[in-house]
Amino acid sequence: MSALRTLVNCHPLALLALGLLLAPWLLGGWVGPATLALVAMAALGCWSFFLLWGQGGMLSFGHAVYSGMGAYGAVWALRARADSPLQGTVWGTLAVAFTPLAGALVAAAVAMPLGALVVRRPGMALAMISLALGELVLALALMFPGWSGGEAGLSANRVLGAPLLGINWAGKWQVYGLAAVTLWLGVAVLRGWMASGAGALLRAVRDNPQRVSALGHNPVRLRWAAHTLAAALAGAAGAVGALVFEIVSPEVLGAQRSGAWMLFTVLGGAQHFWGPLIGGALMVGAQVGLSGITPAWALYVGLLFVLVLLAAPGGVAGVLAGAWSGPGRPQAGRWWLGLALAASGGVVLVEMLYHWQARAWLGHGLTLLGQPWATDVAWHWALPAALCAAGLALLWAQRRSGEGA
Amino acid sequence: MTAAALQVRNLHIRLGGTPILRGVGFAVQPGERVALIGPNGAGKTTLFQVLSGHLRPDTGQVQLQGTDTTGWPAHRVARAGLARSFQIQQLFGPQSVADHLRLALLRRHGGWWQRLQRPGMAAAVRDWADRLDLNNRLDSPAQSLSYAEQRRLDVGLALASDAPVLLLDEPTAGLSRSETAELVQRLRGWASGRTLLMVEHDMDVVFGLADRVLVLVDGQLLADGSPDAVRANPAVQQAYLGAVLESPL
Repeated sequence: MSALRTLVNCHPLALLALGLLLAPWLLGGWVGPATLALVAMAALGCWSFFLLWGQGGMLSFGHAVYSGMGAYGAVWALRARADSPLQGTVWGTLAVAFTPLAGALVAAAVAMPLGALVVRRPGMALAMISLALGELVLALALMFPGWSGGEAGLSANRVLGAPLLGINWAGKWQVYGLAAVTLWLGVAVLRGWMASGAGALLRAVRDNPQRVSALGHNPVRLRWAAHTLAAALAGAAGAVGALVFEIVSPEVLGAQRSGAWMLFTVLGGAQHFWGPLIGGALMVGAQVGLSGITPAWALYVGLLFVLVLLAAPGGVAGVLAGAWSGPGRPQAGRWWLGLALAASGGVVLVEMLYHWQARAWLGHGLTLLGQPWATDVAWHWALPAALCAAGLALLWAQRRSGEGA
Repeated sequence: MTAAALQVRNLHIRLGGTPILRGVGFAVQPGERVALIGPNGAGKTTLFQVLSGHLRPDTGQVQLQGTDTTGWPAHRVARAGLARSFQIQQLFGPQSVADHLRLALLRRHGGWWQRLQRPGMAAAVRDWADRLDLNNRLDSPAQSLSYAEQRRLDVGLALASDAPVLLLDEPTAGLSRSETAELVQRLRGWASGRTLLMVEHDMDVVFGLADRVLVLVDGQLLADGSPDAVRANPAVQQAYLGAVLESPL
């Protein structure tokens, strides 16, 4: 147990490498290689937002500009290779391995001038300016289809070279391998930054910029450097996404994607090093897994976000770390029971409601939690409502007793 | 003749339309220890903000060791050799005492691109923690320290840089009598060989530490002289009695 603790806290890069190596064997039975590659991509994006927000205190509403420009950089690089003498050679195959680097460089190049506008004042001004710049870049992409492909987007082919050591990027596991290596290298750079003087100064700028300037360091330049590095990491993540999908369209630059980076980083835990990995897994789980199960997936993500903000500002990672170190809060069992009751009752209600409003073509019957339900039977409504109410009452009682203690 | 450690000429600044400094000028010689006193609202902290580059004066000039630093941003002024503490302690809340000291020592022990955990740095951090009597709080977040410990850390952040010119803004504010006496004792050692300019209300501290006293009233220098001469100055007594009934004299 203590060895594991040391590994988690002191050797995160070794642990990450181990996890990325073992993931295909441990998880390959349930999730495919493309999904795992997307988790790696989402985790890297969340880690870049973690650098920006958790470490630097910069709440950006335009982070998708950088992941999106990274995706475009990747597609441009792949298309340029397709028209070059590299096509059909092992060099063409080798070049694909550097696609994430191309994405990182494009994103960093975009971030350098934009960052100078964004990082001057943290807080509300930064959030507003980053949101505006995000919409501006999206508008530019739609207005100038020459570089963005317009609404249809740009497609590319990652498999154009001769096989090198059996790899030609056709196999999804090969792409996962590249995604895993990209994630590991990105996190290694992030750890290096965090352990350096610059990392300490960035945290200090987050907590008190005036004092940092009195110590002889320029807070604006530190923010700018961190913003550029975060953009490069997001760009590498975007490039991995482009390699998986082999197509990119302007919507990847937009506010919805920016919001997702913020939301899932906070869900995972923006103050904890492993939070972004959890956030990335949740992001793919919601967008790929949950969206296939229920059309109301975005509602659940929203509810989860509200719940985390209210009950666990440290995110899922904060809850896990709290449960792991030391005794949990007294009567944690009742708390979890209340949460489970409220959640299961709530889910059944939401699904039945959705089913009911679409009854014209879905009919009245549905199956949930292994149980048949009918939207025209009164007690099928009453039961989940009662479960949900009981769960909420239990949570409320715990909250009250917690305050009294 | 060597340049003054600090040379200030005819400083004017308005904040929100109100004139705060109205033609302040003085010089502090290298190694001198000067106290700046004056009633609340006289402009003492604003003057410090201007000297340290956190505020830009409307007119006037600031010279630090012979270099014109007027209008420089704070980090450049700090690099030119000025360190300061703050009236209300300015710390990095959740970060530990050791984190704070590392940040203060960063420019002396390697740079921003180097790993923080280096042997030379660790020794310097322990050394400063000993001097500040915070060695048993090294891993505590600054926000969990007692008020007196936070004040010591705030002053310590300024001292740990090897800046030759120190500005301390009310280093003993809010401390008890015994805590104040202890800090004065420590400051005397730490500031030796450096130039010290401090805002101070406590006359025991002023007499214990300062060679010279500047009196700032309504944004103008009213008196400049030895502590005894300033205490005997009728205009100073008038200003304090006329201002607020918080006379330290």
